[in-house]
Amino acid sequence: MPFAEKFTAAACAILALRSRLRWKPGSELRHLLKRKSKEHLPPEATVVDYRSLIRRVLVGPENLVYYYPFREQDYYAVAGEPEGAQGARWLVMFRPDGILETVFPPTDVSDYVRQHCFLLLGRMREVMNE
Amino acid sequence: MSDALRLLASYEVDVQFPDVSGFEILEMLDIRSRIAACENDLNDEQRARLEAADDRLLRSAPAFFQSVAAIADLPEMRRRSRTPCSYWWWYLERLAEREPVQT
Repeated sequence: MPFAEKFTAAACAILALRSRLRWKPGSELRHLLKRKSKEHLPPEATVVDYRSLIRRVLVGPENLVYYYPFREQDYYAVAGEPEGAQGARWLVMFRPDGILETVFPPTDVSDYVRQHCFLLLGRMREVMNE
Repeated sequence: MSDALRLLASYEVDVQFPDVSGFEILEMLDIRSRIAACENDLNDEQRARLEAADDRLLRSAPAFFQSVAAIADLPEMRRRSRTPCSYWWWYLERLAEREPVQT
């Protein structure tokens, strides 16, 4: 798939996620448990809080959108600091079919995406043409 | 809390979750590398905690490898980032194949 088409694929997946957050079966609660265990979210955080944070990352116009190909599977990621996250930058990672892969705040997002060779597509407003 | 201690606490949680996304396993391996860089800052009690966490990683190596193999080629990553061979945690594909040690 030519690189320009990655914009379209990313935009479609982001739109799908904005309308409905979907995880692999059983995975959402496991991820929430880990986020609380790592103190990324407070102990009282609920699935609703986690979803709200994810949605805030997925709408930030200045947030950065990345592409990560591995063999036959593409992944996309949005990096941003959602309001109320107290300075933490989160990564929302998903597949082109709009299924969430993971959502977490790496120790250093810039280091993480550089070290693991994520390709920058652009800012959210550019990718979404908003 | 010192950086070393914060990283250790983070790593201790990570090793309890082998079945989350491989992208988080990469972050765990990064964290373990950062701990190695400041290991001298850990006291005896903290080193014991690190050993216990390492042991848990070793015991669950097949599951960790399965997660990470879905999203990354570890030998290629090691070549690209010139990972020191002393950073054994980046060799999950080999650790996953080893016979469990009876203690």
